[in-house]
Amino acid sequence: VGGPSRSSRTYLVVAAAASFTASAGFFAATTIAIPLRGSTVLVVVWCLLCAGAVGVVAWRFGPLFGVPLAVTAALAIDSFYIAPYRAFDSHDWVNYPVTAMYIAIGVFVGAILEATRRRAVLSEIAAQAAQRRIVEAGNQARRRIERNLHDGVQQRLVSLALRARRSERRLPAEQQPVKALLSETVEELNAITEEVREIAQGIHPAILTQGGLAPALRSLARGCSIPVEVRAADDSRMPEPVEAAAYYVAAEALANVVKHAEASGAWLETSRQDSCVRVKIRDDGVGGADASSGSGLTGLRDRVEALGGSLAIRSPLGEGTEIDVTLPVAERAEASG
Amino acid sequence: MPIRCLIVDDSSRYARDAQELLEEEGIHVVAVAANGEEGLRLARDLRPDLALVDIDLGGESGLDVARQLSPGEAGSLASVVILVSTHAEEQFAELIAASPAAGFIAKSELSADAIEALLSRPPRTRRLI
Repeated sequence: VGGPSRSSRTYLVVAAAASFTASAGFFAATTIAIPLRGSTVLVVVWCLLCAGAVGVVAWRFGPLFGVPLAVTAALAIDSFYIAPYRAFDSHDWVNYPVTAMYIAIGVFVGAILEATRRRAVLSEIAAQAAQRRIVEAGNQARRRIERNLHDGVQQRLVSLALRARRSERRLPAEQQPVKALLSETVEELNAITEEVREIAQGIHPAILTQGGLAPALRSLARGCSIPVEVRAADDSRMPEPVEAAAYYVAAEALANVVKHAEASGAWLETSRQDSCVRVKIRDDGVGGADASSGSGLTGLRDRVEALGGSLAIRSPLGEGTEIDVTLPVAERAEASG
Repeated sequence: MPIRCLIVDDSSRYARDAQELLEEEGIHVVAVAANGEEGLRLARDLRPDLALVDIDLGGESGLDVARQLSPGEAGSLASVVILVSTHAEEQFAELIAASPAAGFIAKSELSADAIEALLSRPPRTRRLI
């Protein structure tokens, strides 16, 4: 949102600075540098410095800034030769192409540096896209496993339990030992179904697919062994990778709270801000959490950063832990999701 | 007069077993549908007393199907909708509460007794089973 206007402001500031530098260069050239006039080596050094300055500006702010500065620098250098108190002679004409050449080298070097910088930025974008694809592939694999468990094993187990129940009922009363065995079988099948259901839910919670982030977080909080207060004002759906990342961060953070924080309660808050979603998880435990010490939070940071988001942890000793995650909600995905 | 029931479930194996179980227990299963569209069509034709709808119908949501089956007093295609699932009720508690369904029964606990117990409760407490 702030991109173009910030860029315009930067341009104005740099253009003003360039004009100031050019004016300073003009005065330097016409006063301090007068003694240099006779020395070809110093003129060359002067031109190289100008070319370098142009190159640095072109590299830092792009050719857009480098070229105007090159022009002003050319005027400054030129003024050194055509200063009113110096006679204009044929020797100076030789310096025009030389000066132009140095400026061209400056702009050329700036353009190369700029191109290198852009390539680095592009490769960073490509790396992030690859990381995002890996995260999305992971999500899809989790969803697929959950689906396979739900549609296959779980349905077969509940069907089997219903059949065992029917078989038990059909047996006459005198077959009591067999009836008892079948009853135990039904109980065991139901226990296995429950176990598989918990495994499937851990892999990918169905509520996240069906209801979205807010109901999934509320469900997560209900299943937590310490009281968790959820504040999720916005129930609108977001792209699946964003919902999944936000959910897994909250799930991992709450698991850490239960395991390590010795907290009496936790707070989970989500909010939408412009094109971002923010998730905050806070507890009143012992603090001192360290995301770099191989905890599950390291993986979550990777997951969040793959989506172009950020994860901040504040965990002073004795003051609880606060994890603050911001994830961009891509418009492309939002339109389809 | 037995309860006339429609089963909407994408798992043909479970739907068949549920049908046989309920029939044995005195509930008349008038039809079985594998998806929401078929369920709505059959409900429109058969006007069942009860629709048992799986929450997770593969690509579609049983909660949406429940809303379409029972959009309001006048336009309801089934007198009562009960949601079933292999998922835990706690996980879907708020979505079930927000749906027009009378309640939820875990697939493994489905029986005529469970249905009657749920229907005999006052509407507000049905969802607390």
